[in-house]
Amino acid sequence: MATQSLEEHAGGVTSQTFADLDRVVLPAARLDDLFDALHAEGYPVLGPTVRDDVIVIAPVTSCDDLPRGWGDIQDAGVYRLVPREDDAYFAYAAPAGTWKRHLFPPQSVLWRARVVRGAPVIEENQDRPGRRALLGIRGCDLAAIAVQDRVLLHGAHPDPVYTARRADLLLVGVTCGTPASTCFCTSMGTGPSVGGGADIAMTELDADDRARHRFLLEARTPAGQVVVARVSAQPVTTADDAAADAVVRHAGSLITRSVDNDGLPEALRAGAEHPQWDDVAERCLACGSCTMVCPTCFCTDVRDEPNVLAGVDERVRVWASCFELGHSYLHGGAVRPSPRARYRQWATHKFATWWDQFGTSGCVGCGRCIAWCPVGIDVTEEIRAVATSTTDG
Amino acid sequence: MSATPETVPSRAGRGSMTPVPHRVVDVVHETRETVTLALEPSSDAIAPPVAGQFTMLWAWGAGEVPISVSALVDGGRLVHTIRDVAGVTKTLCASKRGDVLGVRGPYGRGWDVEAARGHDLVIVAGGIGLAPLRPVVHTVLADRSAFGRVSLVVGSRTEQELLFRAELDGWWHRHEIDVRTIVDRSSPGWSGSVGVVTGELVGLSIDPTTTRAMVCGPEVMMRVVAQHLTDRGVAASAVEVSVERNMQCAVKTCGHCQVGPFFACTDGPVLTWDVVESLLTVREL
Amino acid sequence: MVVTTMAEELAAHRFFRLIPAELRERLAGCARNVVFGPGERICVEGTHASGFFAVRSGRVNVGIYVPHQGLQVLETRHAGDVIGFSWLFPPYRWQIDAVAGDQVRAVELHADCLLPYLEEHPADGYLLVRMFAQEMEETIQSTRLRLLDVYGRDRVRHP
Repeated sequence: MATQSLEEHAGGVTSQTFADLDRVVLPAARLDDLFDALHAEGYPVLGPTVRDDVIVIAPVTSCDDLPRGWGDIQDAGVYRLVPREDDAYFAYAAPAGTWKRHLFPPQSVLWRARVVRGAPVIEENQDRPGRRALLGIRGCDLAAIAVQDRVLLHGAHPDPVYTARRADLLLVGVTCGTPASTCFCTSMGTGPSVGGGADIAMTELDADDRARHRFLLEARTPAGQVVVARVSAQPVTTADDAAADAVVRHAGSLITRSVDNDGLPEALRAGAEHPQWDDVAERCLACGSCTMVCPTCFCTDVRDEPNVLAGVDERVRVWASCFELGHSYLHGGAVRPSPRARYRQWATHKFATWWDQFGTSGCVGCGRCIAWCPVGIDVTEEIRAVATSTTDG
Repeated sequence: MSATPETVPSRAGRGSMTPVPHRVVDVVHETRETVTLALEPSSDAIAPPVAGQFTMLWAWGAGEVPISVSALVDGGRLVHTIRDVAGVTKTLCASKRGDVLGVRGPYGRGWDVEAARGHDLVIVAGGIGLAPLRPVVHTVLADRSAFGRVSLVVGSRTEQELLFRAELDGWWHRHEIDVRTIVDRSSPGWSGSVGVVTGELVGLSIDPTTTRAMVCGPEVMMRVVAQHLTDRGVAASAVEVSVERNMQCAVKTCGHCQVGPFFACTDGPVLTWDVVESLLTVREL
Repeated sequence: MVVTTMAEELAAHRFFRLIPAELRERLAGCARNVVFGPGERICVEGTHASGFFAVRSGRVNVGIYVPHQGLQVLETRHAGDVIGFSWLFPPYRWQIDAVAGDQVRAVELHADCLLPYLEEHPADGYLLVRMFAQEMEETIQSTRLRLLDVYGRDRVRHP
C-alpha cells in the first residue's frame, strides 16, 4: 500500500482538475514572454540561476538568467554542475538553493521594543515583500511548501513572517525531466510531475531540438490563468500531451533511490534503541547541513538581541537545527547530548513523528540532504536499516 | 493568488510572537531564590489561564521564559512563581512593583481538574513543581465536596526551600485535604519527615480504582512517583505529569520542545503517564 | 479489648505480612512490644546491635550524631518500616541513632534469639535476609535520589 501522497492529503488536486483552464504551448525562443507576462501582472520573479558553480534561487529578470544548458550530477556527498549540449532551461534536479529561504528567511526581526517613560513599546515588523512569482519549482519543492504551510500557516498560531511572505505568491512549477541519483520523489508521492499548489505548471519538451524546443504551460488557478492568457502561444496538441506524459514517465524510470513508507513511522518509533543509530553516529558530524538544505525543516531559535546603548531590544528569529548541541538545552545541559540521539531525532521526526504532528511525512524526497552531507550519509539507507530489522524482529 | 494562502494578520491584531505589556503590582519573596509576581494588564488582558498552563514572561533586554501560572485570579490579573536559575529568571525575580513585563499566552494543556471530580486525588509536588499545582489545590478547596479523598504530598530540598509555607500550614490545619511535606535533608528545627516523596506515598492509603494523580517536579521525581502509583494499580491514564523542555516560541513553530511526537508547549505540558512513559524512559529522546 | 498474640501483631505489619506463618511464629517467640515517648532514644550508634525494630505506629527519626550540631536526621521511618540491619553481620554494631519523633509503638526482635535459629534453618534464613535486602535496596534508592539533589540549582551535567 503506497502511502498517501501530499497531493491527496492536500485535497486531491491534480492537473486533471484544471483541464478547463488555459493550456498553451510556448516556444522556448519566446520564454521571455512568460517573464513579460509575470512582470506585467506585477510579479517580480525568483527562480533558479547559476552562482558560484551551483544553482541557487535568486531574483531572475529574463530567461538569460536561468541555468540554460546546465545539468547536474548529484550523489551522496556529491553536487556538480555539468554543461549540456542543448539549451534546456530546467534539466537538473533539486537546486542547491531552496525556495524556503524566500518564504522563511534565515533571519527575521519579529519586533523592536524601546522603553518609553519606563515601559516597553513594541513595534512589530510589518514588512511584506508583496507579489512575487516563484518560477521553476519542482514537484518535490512544491510539496515542501505545502508541508511548511501546515507547520507555519495552518496551525493555531500562524507565523507572521511566513504568512506575510506566503501571501501574494504565484507558483510556477516545472515538471522534472532529469532527476538525480539522490532523488526519491516517487516514493514520497511528490513528483516528478507538478502537484497541487501550483498556479501554473510547465513542462519542457524537446530541448535537444532547437526547432521544436517548447514549453507546455498549464494554468491551474485563476491567478495563473491571468498570466497564461497574456502569453501569445500556440494551442496544445495531443502530440504535446503525449510528449509531456513521456517526460514524466521517463523521469520516473530514472529514479533509483526509494523509501518504503509502509509501516515506516511505526518502525522508527519502535526503533529508538536500534543499533543503526550507533552506526550512523560514527559517521555523522552533527554539522546540520542536512537541516539547512532541507526544504521542510523549520526549527528556529527565537531570542532577544538587545542593544542597550541604543535603547532597542529586537526579537529575532534565526534558523536553527536539531543537530545543534544546545537545541535541546534544559536545566544546565542538553536533553540530547550525543550525535547519535540527534541523528535519531532528525530522522525519526522527518519520517515518523511529523505524521503525528502535522498529518504528513516531513520528507518530500528531494535528496538534498544526501548530496550535501559532507560524509555522504544517505538517510534512505539509514531508515531502511532501522525499519528492516525492526519488522524482522 | 497562490492556491493556499492565508491573509496577513490585520495591523490591529497582535502577532503571536508579540508580548502584551503587564505591570508588576505585587512581589512576594517566597524563598531565597523564588519570587511570586502578580501582574496587571497595562491595557489588554490575555485570555484567562487554567491550572497547569504557562505564559512566556518577557523582561525588556533579557528575553522570555515559560513560567506556569501559580494562582488563578479574576479580572486579567496573572500570578506567576519564578525560581531564579540565572539568565532571564534572574531579571524577572529582581522585578519591582511598577515594572512593566511582557506576557504571551496562556499556552499549553493544563491539569484535567474536571476529570478528577468525583474521584480521589493524589497531588504530588516536588520543589518548584508546587507552583503549577497550587491552582488545583485552590480549586479543590473552593468546591471540596466535588472531590473524594484529596492528598497533597510536597517534597522539597530543605525546609527553607518549601514554597507557600504559610499556605501549606493553613491547608494542613483545615483538615480538608491530607497534607504531607517531606524534605531531602533536614535542618535544625525541622520536625517533619525526611526522605523522598515516594516514602510518604507508601504510607498513603489509595483506592486505585478511583484515584487520579497530578504530579509535578523534576523529571526523575515524576518518573519514580508515576511508577510507584501505577505499581499500586492506579491507571497510567489517570496519572498526569507536567513535561518540561526547551521552549522558545510556545506556539509549535520553533521545534525545540519536542519530546517524541509531542510538542510540550501545545500537546503538553500536562500529559498522561500512559502516553509519556515510553518516551521519558528512552534516554536522550 | 481485643487481645492479639504477637504472631497476629506481626502478621498485621507490612514487613512480616508475607512471611510463612511458621516462621512468623518463630519470630514472635523472639519479639516483644516496646513503646517510646517523643524524643526517646531507640538505638545509639556504636552500641551493640542487639536486634531490630518493626515500627507499628508513630514516626522515627534516623540519623547520625554530629558533634556541635546534634542529631542530623537523614531519614524518617514510619509505620510498616523496619529499623536495623547491623545485627545481621559483624561487628554487630548500630551504625545510626534512631530517636522517636512522636509516640512510637514498635516490636523489638532480638538477635540472640533469632540468629542461632536462622543458622540452623537456612531456608528461613534466606527468606528473612532477602526481605531485609529489599528494605536495604529501598533505603539505598531513596538515598541515591536525594544525593541527586533533583530540587537543587541547575548545574551542567554534560560536556
